[in-house]
Amino acid sequence: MKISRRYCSEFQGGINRIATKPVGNMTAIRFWIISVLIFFTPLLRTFAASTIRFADVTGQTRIGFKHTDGGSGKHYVMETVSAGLALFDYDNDGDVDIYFLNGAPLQGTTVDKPPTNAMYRNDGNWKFTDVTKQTSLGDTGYGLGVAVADYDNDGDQDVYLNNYGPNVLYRNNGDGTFTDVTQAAKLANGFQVGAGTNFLDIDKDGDLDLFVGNYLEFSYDSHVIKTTRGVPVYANPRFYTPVPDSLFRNNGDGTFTDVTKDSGISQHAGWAMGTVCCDFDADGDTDIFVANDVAENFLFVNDGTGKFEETALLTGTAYDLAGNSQGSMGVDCGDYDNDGRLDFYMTSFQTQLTSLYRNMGDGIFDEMTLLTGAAAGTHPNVTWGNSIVDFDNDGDRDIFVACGHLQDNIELFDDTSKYYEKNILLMNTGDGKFINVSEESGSGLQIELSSRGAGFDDLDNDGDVDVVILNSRREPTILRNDSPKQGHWLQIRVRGTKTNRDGVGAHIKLNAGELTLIDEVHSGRGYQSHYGSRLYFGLGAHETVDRIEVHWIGGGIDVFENIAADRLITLTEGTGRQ
Amino acid sequence: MKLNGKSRFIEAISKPENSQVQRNKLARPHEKKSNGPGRIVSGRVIIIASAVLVVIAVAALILTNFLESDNKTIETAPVHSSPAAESSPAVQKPAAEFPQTNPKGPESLLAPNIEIDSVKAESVKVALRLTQDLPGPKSIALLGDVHRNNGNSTEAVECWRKSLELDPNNAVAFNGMAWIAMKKAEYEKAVDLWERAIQIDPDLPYVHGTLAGALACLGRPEQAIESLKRDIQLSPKPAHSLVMMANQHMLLKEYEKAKAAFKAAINHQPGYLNAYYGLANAYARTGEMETSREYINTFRALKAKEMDALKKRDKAFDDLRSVCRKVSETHTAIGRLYLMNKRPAKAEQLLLRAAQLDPENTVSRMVLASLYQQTGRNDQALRLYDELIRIEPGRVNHYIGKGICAAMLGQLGKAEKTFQEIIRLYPSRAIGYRELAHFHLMTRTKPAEALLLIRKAVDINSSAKNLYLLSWACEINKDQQGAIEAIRRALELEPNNEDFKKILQRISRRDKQNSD
Repeated sequence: MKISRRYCSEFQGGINRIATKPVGNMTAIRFWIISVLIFFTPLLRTFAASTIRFADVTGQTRIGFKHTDGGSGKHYVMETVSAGLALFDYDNDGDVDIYFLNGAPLQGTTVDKPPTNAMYRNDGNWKFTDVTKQTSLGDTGYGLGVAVADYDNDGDQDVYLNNYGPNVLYRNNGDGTFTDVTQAAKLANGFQVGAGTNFLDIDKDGDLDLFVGNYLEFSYDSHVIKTTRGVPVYANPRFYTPVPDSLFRNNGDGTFTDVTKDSGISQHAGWAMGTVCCDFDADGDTDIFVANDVAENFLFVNDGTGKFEETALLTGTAYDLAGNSQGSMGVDCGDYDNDGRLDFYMTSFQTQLTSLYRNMGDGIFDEMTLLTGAAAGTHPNVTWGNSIVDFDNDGDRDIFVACGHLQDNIELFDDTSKYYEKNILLMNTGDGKFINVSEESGSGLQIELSSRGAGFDDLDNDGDVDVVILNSRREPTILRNDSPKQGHWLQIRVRGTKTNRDGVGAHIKLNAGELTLIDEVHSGRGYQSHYGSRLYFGLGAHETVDRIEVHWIGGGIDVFENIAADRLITLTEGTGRQ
Repeated sequence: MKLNGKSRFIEAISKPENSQVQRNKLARPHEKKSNGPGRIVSGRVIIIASAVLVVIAVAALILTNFLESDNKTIETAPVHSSPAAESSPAVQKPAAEFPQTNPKGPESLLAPNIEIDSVKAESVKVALRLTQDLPGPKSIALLGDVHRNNGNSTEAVECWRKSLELDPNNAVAFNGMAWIAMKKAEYEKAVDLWERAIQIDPDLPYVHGTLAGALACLGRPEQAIESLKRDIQLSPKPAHSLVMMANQHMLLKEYEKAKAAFKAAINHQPGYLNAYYGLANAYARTGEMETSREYINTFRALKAKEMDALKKRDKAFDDLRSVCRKVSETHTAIGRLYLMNKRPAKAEQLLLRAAQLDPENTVSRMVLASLYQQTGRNDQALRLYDELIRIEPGRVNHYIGKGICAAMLGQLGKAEKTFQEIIRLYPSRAIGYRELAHFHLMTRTKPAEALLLIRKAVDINSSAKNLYLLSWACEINKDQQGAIEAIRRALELEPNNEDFKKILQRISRRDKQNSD
């Protein structure tokens, strides 16, 4: 009888009375074991506490930005997908600043003052100053995606905005101000609905070219209104025609040439969302991953000259394990299992799992989501910004997932999900698996908003990675990493001299004792965002890094040895052992 | 295999053998006591007599079905576009309790002037009323189903919990709760709930597959495979489970097992694109790239078709119709519960409304038709069977129902044509020949043709029931030896069938008397 009662105890409220069925001896033992497990599971979870802590410090940052999607209840499709953000050091003062993208009034919406993107200068001590006006970065276009890099190799980072409407290229003047050089650079990209965007060197010529994701073909005439269970909802993107993405080659003189057709990119139309560029096949050039909504993803493989072949289906990254299309949202890459290869992590729609694609090294990826626990907690949510980051500096990379439904009224027709949701933190257990530690990782993970883009950088230069999240229609969330300092760390900033100045595409391999870590410099990643211009390595107990190899885009290698941990270093091309 | 409510019901009324045996048992003239010269009863009298008994038989079947499966989830019937059904002459009877915004007929229910919210509210009102009229676990569980359909999972789970307090053996309630847990990513809880459902009803459809899904999400591929094996055993359409199982083998790097399962899925369901995707991956991982590419090409082609189909589906999606369909399902289930509890008037009202709400709801129409037959309203039943045939033109049961109703109404020509239609639809199956033969035997209109027809049926399928009818036809056609031979063969197949034994004794006795 005790067993029966215990067996039923899992249900809260009243279920105790239901289990009156007699149980046999073996069954009873099994029930007893289950009961004990159920009873102790919460305790075990407490004991297996997260080593990561995030504190919500938004209130003390003086950041007053509030996102708008530009909507007025008409449910235009782009309202749901705005927007990304960028973390970068715009003024070269050694700390990471924050740039938020913003929506703009859509047809039927009137405003007194047009909303703009917002630039916040990091003043240290978690204080930020709104420098939008001073920097001239207050674009009033409808912001969706952003990438940052020094495209003109003049020593400061420039900004490209992928908007609904004309895109914008802001050249950094080097004095804390920016100039809109879109027309001169020929990078407006028509009038499209944008998505993720990336700077990358497609042809290894030393300057950065530009990939521009395009979401879908939209006009107010083609706007679709739907209802679900009688509730007005945003229509599925399948109602709109997919479009090819765009690729622009840097001419080296401040102008770009549209090579979408010549490069092979134009052959594939999709509903692009997040994008990331990396050398997944370690052949020395940069490839492009496009997370496509409601259809197969694209993995464009570079032949080294800027010609691309779409290989997602062949490589196992087009679909989930079962071959189903996902509502793919954001995508990032990183070596989650420290096997020396870049893996992909991708977010998706409600009732779908996020996807972890493990790079097997032979041009094939295995979808490891189910075996690794890398999608824990994501099933009820629409998931967006993400990254594979070592938050506790223990030498393996954890996963952060930004959540929030795109239907602002989801609870009216499906209360298994919510518009405002908590974000998810998945801690790497060190054996290639993840556990959901969101409930045990501090106040920062208890915030419920509808998150979109997320960025990951060390905002206070204390050696661990903090988080900035753009929330749809609301204020952003700034999370300070307060994890107990268990591991040593090293941050690396690379400087190209022959290759692009930001070192975008540079591949770093680091050895510290038995630990081998890799990473790569990316421009544009996650959900239509930019972050991580400097690279972060958690070293665990290692106080010294034995060796660092920097493989520059184009083939050059620099080796650096015996580097003390717990600091930020700059590795300049040509200064290491060749 | 145990079926869910809908399947069981359909199976019950789709097994003409059940009702035939009843009919045969009672209507076959040589089963009646001899009344001397007047013992040959006219066809019409036989029809009337048999009709009464058919009604009893159908009622018994329905009741049995309800007793066993009432309150189980009714799944959406396969949707076939059937504009004709929307005119629905058989279900025009107004259901006074519901808003009659469609005085011209149920087709206008789908017009934009109907508020979806009011239909949803109606579903809740009906279910709440049920809990007052018939308090009990089944009613509460049905209220839970209604809440689930309206997207209120919290209230749904609460109802199912209350239902389980009253009846802890409701596997369907556990199943519903498990689905909600799964949607909320509470996989451990989902596993536990599905395991409880299985303990209660191991044959609950799809539950082993859904359990496997939760186990897979927990990263337990071996356990998922075991559960899928059981699902594959039980499911008449196991392709999905085979692909799921293959994917678990892929995770375990058991590529040959994965290939075999993917191929088995394709055997069951050619064109199952996920299986081709899996095969492409499996062959790629065993280094057979050429084969992998072939499967990829097939997958690509199928995927393109799928995308086209999805786009069409998106464009065709009608929210009101979708909501009405769900409400129609729960109205049907509630109507059946009223019927089971001897509230036929209330049941009829709800079933009519269900049919109005969803012009393609075959279950509500079938139950209604049975109800009409039970209450002697064969003309109304006949119209429903006409509608059912329009909705599901390939389903034999509807023709049989129509034929019986027509016969009971004395429309013998129409009945005969209906049974002939079964032969036209399925010339290689025994059922059409048997039903037409049976009709001729019942009406005694064409005994010689009946004999030819039932011989044809026996040639195709020498089942005990067909042989029994052959015996009957032989006897009517004065072929005593043939009759004895046929019933003997039937008895060989069903040695414990007491009716067959009695028939054999009687025919043999008469044969002996004749020879004496």
